[in-house]
Amino acid sequence: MNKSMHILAAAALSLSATFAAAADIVVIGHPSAAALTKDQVADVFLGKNLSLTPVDQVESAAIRADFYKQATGRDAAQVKAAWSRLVFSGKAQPPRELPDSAAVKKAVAADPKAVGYIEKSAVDGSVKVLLPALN
Amino acid sequence: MTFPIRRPLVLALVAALPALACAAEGDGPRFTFSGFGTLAAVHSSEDKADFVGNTLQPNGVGYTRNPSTNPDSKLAGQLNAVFSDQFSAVLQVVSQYRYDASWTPQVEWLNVKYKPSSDLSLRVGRIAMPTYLMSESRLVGYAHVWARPPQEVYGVMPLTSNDGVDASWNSQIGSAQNTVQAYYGTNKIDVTGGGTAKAKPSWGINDTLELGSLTLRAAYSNLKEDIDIPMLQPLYDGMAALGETDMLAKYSPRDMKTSVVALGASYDPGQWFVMGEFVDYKGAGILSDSRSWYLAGGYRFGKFTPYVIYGRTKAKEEVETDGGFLNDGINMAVDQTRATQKNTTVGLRFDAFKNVAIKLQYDRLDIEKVARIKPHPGYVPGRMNLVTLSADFVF
Repeated sequence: MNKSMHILAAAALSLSATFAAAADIVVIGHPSAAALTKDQVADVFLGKNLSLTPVDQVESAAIRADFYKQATGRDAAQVKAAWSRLVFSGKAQPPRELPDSAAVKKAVAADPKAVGYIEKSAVDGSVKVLLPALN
Repeated sequence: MTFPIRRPLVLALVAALPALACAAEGDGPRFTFSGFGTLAAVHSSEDKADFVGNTLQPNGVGYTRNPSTNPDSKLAGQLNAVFSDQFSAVLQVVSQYRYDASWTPQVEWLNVKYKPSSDLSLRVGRIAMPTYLMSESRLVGYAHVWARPPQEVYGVMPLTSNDGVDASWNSQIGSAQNTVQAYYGTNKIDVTGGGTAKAKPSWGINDTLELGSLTLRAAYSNLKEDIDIPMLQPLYDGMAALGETDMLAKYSPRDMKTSVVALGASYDPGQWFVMGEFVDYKGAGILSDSRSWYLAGGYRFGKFTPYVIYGRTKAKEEVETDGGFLNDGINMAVDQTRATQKNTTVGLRFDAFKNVAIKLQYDRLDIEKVARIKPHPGYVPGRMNLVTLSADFVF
């Protein structure tokens, strides 16, 4: 009984740890870029501020849905609707989609205007954290 | 918008594209193709008049067909070309039900954009006519919650593009994004039953302020219009024959100076939204002044977004009494441009699949003055109920 409680508790802990890890997203940019507020990040990723270049993750990546929900309060369909307003007026192209966080880091490290998002644990010296937490 | 590529400017642009491509450095231009469309069926409770998707359509749902897929269905393809950080171009071709009852695809946009700096962009070619808050995406059903833009407001100016130039300047005011846009161009539309309406020129300026979830917009457009509608010719012939030079001048279909002031606001924090627009139209000649507005709001329950819209348009009533024998004829002609109606809309958007939204919309239209619909003998203005089922998609 006692032992099984322990196992349950451990399972619950590791589950919550998994969710916490999935939710820990940071916004990154070029080492020379300036820090951003959450509102500024939302503007960049919804195409309201076109002076910076958002870099996206692929649609199938779990981090993508989490990022948009936390940073903009919008789900995938709403984000797509917002971008289709811009795309079909010729104002902007939707963000480039990269296959994983490593590719996002590489793209962001190479372009002073690029802004991306990755798991906090994936951050390294090649990029700068522009917004350390979305919550 | 309603005519194929034939303007010299547009042709020059097409010719210039390869040259721009050569000017691009590195690995050449990047092309992307995308598109959008709507497949929609509308049913009307009125069988003596046609409800139309826009006033340029010759017929619609109700009298001619019922239900009908003509009013709102459309298909569009868009080619974007990025030549360099400074130069890009866009071509958008749209097929929708046209004045001549055809679906012949038309060039909606074809322009080249030059961005000398990150806050300034200049375009030349066929460009969206920036009258409304959602002017540039009014045909893109997927981008909006509604089955069609509220016609009380968006029907005031059915023109959607201009051939000319525009300039946009972005700036940051505190944490807000501000965009000032000015345009100058010409356009020509074909009118159902024969005839054309030309704006030469059309120019305007607008300002859009985006602060987080809030968007505010104010726009002014000015048009100098020529209208050639054979149906009106007998009236002008009558004025000339009776020596009514004052009336000829007042109702001249040449160089009619019209203007539009449009104010718009939307607040969309994600979970819910409200938006509204107000339009003050100043007509000339046979075109009546009008005031129009709508308010819309919705709440998002996951993939489902129920929404409501209330819209009104009211034409100014003026009766001509100085035209002698011609008073009746003049008043009848002017009356045909007077739209006074209100519409209460409830609907549900369902984001069914990736890239596809299904919408079910009910409109309760109360028509007082007939100009946005096509009446047939025996029609009595009044209530009209519409049910629309649509699928909007992007690719």
